Formats: sequence, structure tokens, C-alpha cells
Amino acid sequence: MVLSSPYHKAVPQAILAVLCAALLTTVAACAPSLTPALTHAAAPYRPAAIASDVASRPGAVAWSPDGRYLAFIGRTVTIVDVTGEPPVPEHIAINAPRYLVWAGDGTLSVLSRERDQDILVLIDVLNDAARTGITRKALDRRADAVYPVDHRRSLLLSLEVARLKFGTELRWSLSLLDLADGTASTLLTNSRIVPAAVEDRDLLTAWAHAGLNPLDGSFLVMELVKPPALTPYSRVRAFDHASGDLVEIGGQDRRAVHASADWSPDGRKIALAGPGGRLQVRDLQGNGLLDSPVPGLYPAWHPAGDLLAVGGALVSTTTGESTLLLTNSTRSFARWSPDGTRLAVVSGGKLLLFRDFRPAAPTAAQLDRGLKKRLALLQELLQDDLITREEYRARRTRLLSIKEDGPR
Amino acid sequence: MKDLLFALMLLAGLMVPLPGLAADPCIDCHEQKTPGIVAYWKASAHAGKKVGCVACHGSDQDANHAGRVTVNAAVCGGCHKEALATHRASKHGAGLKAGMGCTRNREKAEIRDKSCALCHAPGTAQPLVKVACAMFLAQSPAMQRQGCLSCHQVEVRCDTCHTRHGTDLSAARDPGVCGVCHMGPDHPQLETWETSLHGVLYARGGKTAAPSCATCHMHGGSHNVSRGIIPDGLPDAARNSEERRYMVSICSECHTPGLASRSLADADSIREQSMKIVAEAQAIVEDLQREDLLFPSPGARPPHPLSGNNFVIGPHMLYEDLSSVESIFFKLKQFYALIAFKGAYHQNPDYAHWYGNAPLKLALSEIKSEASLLRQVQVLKKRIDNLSAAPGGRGGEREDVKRQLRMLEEKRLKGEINAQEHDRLKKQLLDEQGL
Repeated sequence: MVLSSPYHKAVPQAILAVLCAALLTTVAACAPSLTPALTHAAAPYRPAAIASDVASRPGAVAWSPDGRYLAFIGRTVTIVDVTGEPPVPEHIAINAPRYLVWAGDGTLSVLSRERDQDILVLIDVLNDAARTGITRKALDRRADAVYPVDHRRSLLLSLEVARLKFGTELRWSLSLLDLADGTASTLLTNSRIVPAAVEDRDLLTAWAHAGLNPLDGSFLVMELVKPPALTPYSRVRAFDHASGDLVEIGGQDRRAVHASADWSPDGRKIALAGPGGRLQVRDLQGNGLLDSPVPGLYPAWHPAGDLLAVGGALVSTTTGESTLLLTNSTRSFARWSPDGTRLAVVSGGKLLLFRDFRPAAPTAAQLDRGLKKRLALLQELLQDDLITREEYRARRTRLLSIKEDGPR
Repeated sequence: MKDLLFALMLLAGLMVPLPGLAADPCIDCHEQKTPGIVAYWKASAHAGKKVGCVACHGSDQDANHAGRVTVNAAVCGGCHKEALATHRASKHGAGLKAGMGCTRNREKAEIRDKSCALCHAPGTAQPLVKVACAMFLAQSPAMQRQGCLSCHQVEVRCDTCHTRHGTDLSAARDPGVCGVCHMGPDHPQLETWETSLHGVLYARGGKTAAPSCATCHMHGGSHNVSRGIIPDGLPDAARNSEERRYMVSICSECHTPGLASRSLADADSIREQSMKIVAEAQAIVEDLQREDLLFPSPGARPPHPLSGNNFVIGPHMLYEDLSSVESIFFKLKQFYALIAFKGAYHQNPDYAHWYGNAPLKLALSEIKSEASLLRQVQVLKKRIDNLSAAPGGRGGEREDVKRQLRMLEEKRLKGEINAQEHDRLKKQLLDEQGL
């Protein structure tokens, strides 16, 4: 897989990463006492198998906001009450589901396809136990991922991969969907050609997993840039859907190629990863906070913001210590429960549940709630034409420069 | 014996068919099927020089019959080397200018070898400014063939001006041939010349009485039609004065150099003032776009073939699905400005003034007036939106902020407070909200 990667320049790092992973595996198997101690986790890790035949890609697994339910895409959509012993599954008949996400108000959004049309299915899991109020909204466009913005709107991402004679083209577009009337308007379209034959769609589109910044709602955009005669690198930007601005995330590393990313819970850092590359953590000003040789395609931040699950391993974002949970799981996909005590991992089609992690303390994300509200108000004022784009930009920049904020 | 052998060899040599003629398999059939073409060719200098069908069309009969063979400029250039070289040095042969970036006009090998750089700036997807192909791409295939390529194929097709199977140069030199393309509202060179004193005298006495297109633009039979013309925006002063000297020398065959220089300098000045008006109008339209005052907005139009739903006003501007103010600007830039200065260069007062300069200035007035109206309508709309959205009632603190901002805006729109006072109060309100 690594050798067929378009990021062939990163092969030496890939080899290094594979060697490191192999070393960690050996250490974990032969000498458990030598495993680096991560304060969050209760070793040894014995996961409970929840299901098999689960799609191993972003949007296949989501936790409910109260952490009681885990929804996942298998043959259909299944919602599991993980507080039950054994966990109790409930299957919901949805045709060809491809992406699900749980909004803060408890609505589960599922993208599916029926009769050659993309459908957004909305299920109020927490308040509608009888499942009588399932809503189906026909979409006027293809959608591969959905990100709830607020109770009225969601962002839709459409991804298309085309093989060209001289490379592979990834075309994508981001639209804003009005949930009340089902209309969508295109906000951003992009096309990027990777100068190599890439069969692996997941690798090309893994960056979309990061989605919206928890603090200001901006959408992470990652592109592979291949300047003539120079080393390729990943360009990471944040798209502010309120203003239409694509903001460069400071201090880009013009040598590193990544495949995926995740926003930290406070929205002030990003983790960058790749199956053959290194795991890096940077703040939005571009300061490097971590550089670790852990391969993995989908980094996932612990709600406390000091631990990352990636490629079947846990990595401390403060010390860089890592612990292997699962071997041969570079492509695994993890989701932390909102309280941080449980971790759902999909690896090789199996959905595993790790429990008993230390609960997340009040996080910077929670402390930033007041700031988040003010940013949302600023966006509303811009959308209502009550402030100018320049005023919005200046005030947004100023708000985001506030280190930590108490609730207002 | 030696003499006999030599005589036999000479005889054998004479019996070898000339290339492309004696062995030409086409004539027999085509005398039946297309007798006009064969008759035309037989009367041509080509026939006299034994240049037959195969010499130009090649020997692949199947490909010819299937319509896969094109006799392009490179074929003609095999013999007419100087004509091809001077043609290629001119705007007619410069491809991205004359062919307007239509890559389908270009040699396949050329496209293959440097396909990206032909149309795009190095390392980007940005089309070159001179590749004004968007207007072409927006048309139907039939219109592309008939309305665009018929003229813009001149880069690679000699038969754009020359007859195909005849070689009567008087036809190619006829001003009417130039006028097939160089007429109409975008560049009425034929009309401006025809109705100038030059054209009137030519109509009375032919080429000995007055100059035609070829007299000035293909002087001495040169195929470089760009000689003597100062290209728009070329900052090369030395080249400009060389071109001007060349044109004045042609004019001086009939006029004094002083008269010719003054007349052309006036035309330069008219071109400069026309382009200033274009720039002024363009700035107004760009401002309106920034203020979101173009209806339909670029986002609500069918996508532009190169720029999608982005606003386009440069060389890639289309003439369809525009707002009213853009439509006026298109005519101002593409028609009136060109008519004004091309009329002046061709010594036609009426075209320079009444068909060019006057509508050019009228269109600028119209654009200014339209912009003013659009802004007034926007203010009224804002006031209506403001007032209709004001009584929130719900939403607490958030709605209160919005209500106060709307009240401030209404005061500004009504003129109760000036913009500075409005901005000060607005800043104070937003600061108080911790925004």
C-alpha cells in the first residue's frame, strides 16, 4: 500500500514508520511492562467486539452527544446502546448508507442513496424512541459527507475521483444545505490533480475526515501541491463558510506530505497524519508541537486534547509517548466517546470498543464555549449583512487570538 | 555507343513522371465528380508548374476521401517558404493572437510538445491573457465552425485568403477578401476604408488611384500584415518608432511624411483616449461587482467555460448572460472603442467620430447612470430589509445586538448620521458585546 502511494517522495519516512510500528508491536507483545505508560489508559487493553463488516472510513462511526449510543454503518445503520451489558443493537433500515454524523442536539444525520438519488436521513434518536419521526430529505446533488453547522444548516461535501492519462484528479465541492427547505448552494469547488495513478480513493479523500473546526466552524481543506521540480507538500487551509475566506493555516511545512488531519477539541491545533508518513501536531500559528513516527490514516483527538488515537496506537500529544492498541491497523479509524472514557475503533471491518479510559477533565473546548458563541454571533451578523466582511475578518482574527476564555 | 547510352538514359529520365502530376490518380475521376475544381486547377500556375493533387493532398487516397487530410499552411510553406515565414511573423500567424488560443487550429505535434504552455501560464491552470478562447468555447459547435474558425483558422490555413485550387493573386489582393473577416462592429476595417477617400478613389480608379488593404498592410507582397502597426500596449519604444517609420514610408509614396505622421499621431491619440474610457468604464463595472450589484450575479449565471461562476471582465469576457451594465460595457469595449480608433487610422471621420467616439462616450454615461441607479436601489432595498427584519422579539441578547445594528444602519441610510458617526457607534456597540 505504501509503495503504491502517490506520496512516493515520502517512502523513506514510510519505511521508517513501518519499522517503528513493527518495533512497537514487538515491544508490546513481548514485554508489556515496557509499554510507555499513558496516563489516560488502563492497560492492558482488551477491547469488546461490537460488530463486524463495518465500513472502515470516516463517517462510518459516530457517538451520540451523551455518549450512550454508538451508531455505525454496516450492511445498514445500527445504533448500539453501549451502556447495556451486552450492548444492545438496533438496526435501522436505510438503503446504501455511506456517512453518518451526530449533531449536538441529538439528531443523527445519515447520507444514503435511494433510487439513484442522494438522501439525507435525519433521526432524532434521543427523543424519538419509537423512530416514528425519521425524516428523509432528497438532495439535489451528490453528497459524500455531511457536517452539521447548526440546527438549521449542514455542510455537504461531494467528492469525485477521476483517473486521467497523466494522473488522478480529485474534484470536490462544499455546499450549504438549508435543512428547512432542502435547498443547497455551492460554497466552494476545487479540483486537484495528483500526478500519479492512485487507485486508493480513501487515501485521496482521508483529509475530509477532519471536517469543521470545533471552535469557529471552519472547514479543513488539505491539498497535495506538486510544484514543478520541487518536493510535493500538503497545503492545509481552513474555509470559513460564513465569509467564503480560505485561510492559510500558519507556518506550512513545505516539505511534508500528509493524507489526513483532525482538529483538536479546542480547535486551536491540528494533527496531521499519513499511512506512510509522520504524525505531526501544530498549532494554528504553525508552531510544531509534536513530530512522531507513527503511521496512520485517521488521527482522532481525545476530548481532553492531550492524546491522539491513530493507526491503532495512542500517542500523547504532550510527550510523544505512544502505545500500540492494535497491530496492523494503520488504516483503522477511531472515535472517542464525548466524555473520553471509551474509544470505538474500526479495524479490518471489525468495530471494537475500548473502555475505562480516564474521563476528560473540563477541556479548553468547554472553557472556550463563550468564545464559540461570540464567533457564531459574528458569523450571523455577517450573514445578515450587519457587519462588513472586513469588520468580520478583523474581529474574528482578534477573537481567535484570545488564548482561553471563560463562559459568557 | 556512349552517345547512344547517354541518349537512352536521357529519354528514360524524361519518362519519369513529375512528382504529384503525371502519376496523379485523382484527375480522371475528379474531372467527372468535381469538374469545377479540376478546371480551376488546370488554369492555375500550379498546373503550369506541374504541381498536382498529390503534391498538396498527399497520396493517401483513403484518408483524403474520408476527409482526414487538411492542406494547411505548412504544406503550402514547403514551396512558399518566405510567404510562410512572414505570415508566421505576423499577427495572422501568431496563433495565440490570431487563432485566439483555439488549440484545434494548431499542428498536432505542436500541441503535443507544449500543450499546456500554449494556453496556460507556467505551472498554473490560469489561461494566458492572450488566449481569448472563452467566447469561442461558449458557442455551439456549428457557430464555432462557421462564426469563429472560418476567420481564426488564418493562422494555419492559407485558403482563408487565397483560393483553394486556383492561384489568381488578384483575388487574394481584393479588399473584399480581407473584408470577409475584417468588417462588422468588432473591427470595421473594410467599411472604414471603403467609405474613406482612399476607398472612394479605389472604387473609381482601382489600385493605381488609391491604396487598398494590401498596399499598406502587405506592402511589396509581404505576408507580415502586422508591419507598420503599433501593437496595443507594447512598451517597446524602439520597435514602435520602427513600425511607425515603416508605415509613414508607405504613406509617403503619395503623401508628405509630415501629413502621414500627423494623421497617424492623431489616431494614436484617439486610441489612447478611447482606451482610457474603456479603463474608466471597466473600473465602474468592477466596483459594482464588488458591491454585489450585478444582476444576474456571476454565481447565478451558467458557468463560464474557463472561470466557472467567477466574475470575468478581461479578454475572456463573454457576451451572454450578462447584467445590463456589463452588456453596455461589452459594446463599449469590443465595438465602440475599436471603431473610434480604427476609423481614425483608416482616415474615416464619420466612423472615428459618430460610429465610434460618440457611442463610446454615450455608453460610458449610460454605465455611470446605471451604476448610480443600482446604488440607489441598493440603499432602498437595504432600508426595506433593515426595517422588515428589525422587530425580532425573540432571541434575547443576540437579537438585541442585531436590532441595534439595524437601527444604526437605518439612521445612516436616512442621512440622520454620517458614515463616520455610524462606524463609531457600530464599533462601540460591537466592542461592548465582546466581539
